[in-house]
Amino acid sequence: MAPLDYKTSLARYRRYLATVQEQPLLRASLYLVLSLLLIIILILAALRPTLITIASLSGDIKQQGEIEKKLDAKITQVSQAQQILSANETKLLVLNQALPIGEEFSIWGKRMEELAQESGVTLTGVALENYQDFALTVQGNYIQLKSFLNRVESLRRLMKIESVQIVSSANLTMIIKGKLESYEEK
Amino acid sequence: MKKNKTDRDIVLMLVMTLITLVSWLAFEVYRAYVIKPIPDVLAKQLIELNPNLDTVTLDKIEKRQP
Repeated sequence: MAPLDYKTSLARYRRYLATVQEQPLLRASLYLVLSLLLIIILILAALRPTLITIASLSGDIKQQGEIEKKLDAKITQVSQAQQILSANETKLLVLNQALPIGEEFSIWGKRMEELAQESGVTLTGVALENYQDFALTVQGNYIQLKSFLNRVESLRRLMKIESVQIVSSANLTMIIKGKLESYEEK
Repeated sequence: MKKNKTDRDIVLMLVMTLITLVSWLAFEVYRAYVIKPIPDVLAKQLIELNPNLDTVTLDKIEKRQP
């Protein structure tokens, strides 16, 4: 019978224990690493584009719904506006006279001549600058000048009278300065 | 023992990568859902319109000398 070499056996047993102890851990760690790598690859290659497409389409649907609601409201507003417009069509001519599209100086100039004739004053000068600023020079007595100024003030055509100056010479001379309003299409 | 530590480091790195990736994905999905620019022409058409006409002012203008 061979003598029992317990030291070698113990050493071998310890090595065996160490291996047995380490191997399941190593295997589990390897599986874990592989699983994590697989998840990362799946997220990058499959999940990401799919989720982004779904989110994008969902966002599109939501936005289109909101746009549809707004457009419906706009259609209602436009049809209401159309009804009001057709009901007040005759009055719009008045609006066009008050605030014409473009300057329309000639009509305004002729109207000024008519007003001067009606008031009995002499229109000696009409000046226009920058298609907006005007200066009217009229001559007559005080009552005539006052009547002319009243008529100009109560005219339908919109204008801002900035200053009125009366100069006394042989006749009274009145200089009216202001701004002519007109509508510019944007 | 050293091998174990290396494994743990790799797992930790992968978990961190996964967390980063999931966060990045979440932000990208959120962006794709929320950010939708409306085309210019449509934005112009969507501007609200006030259908009311100021008839009081129109009447006042009508009363003025033509």
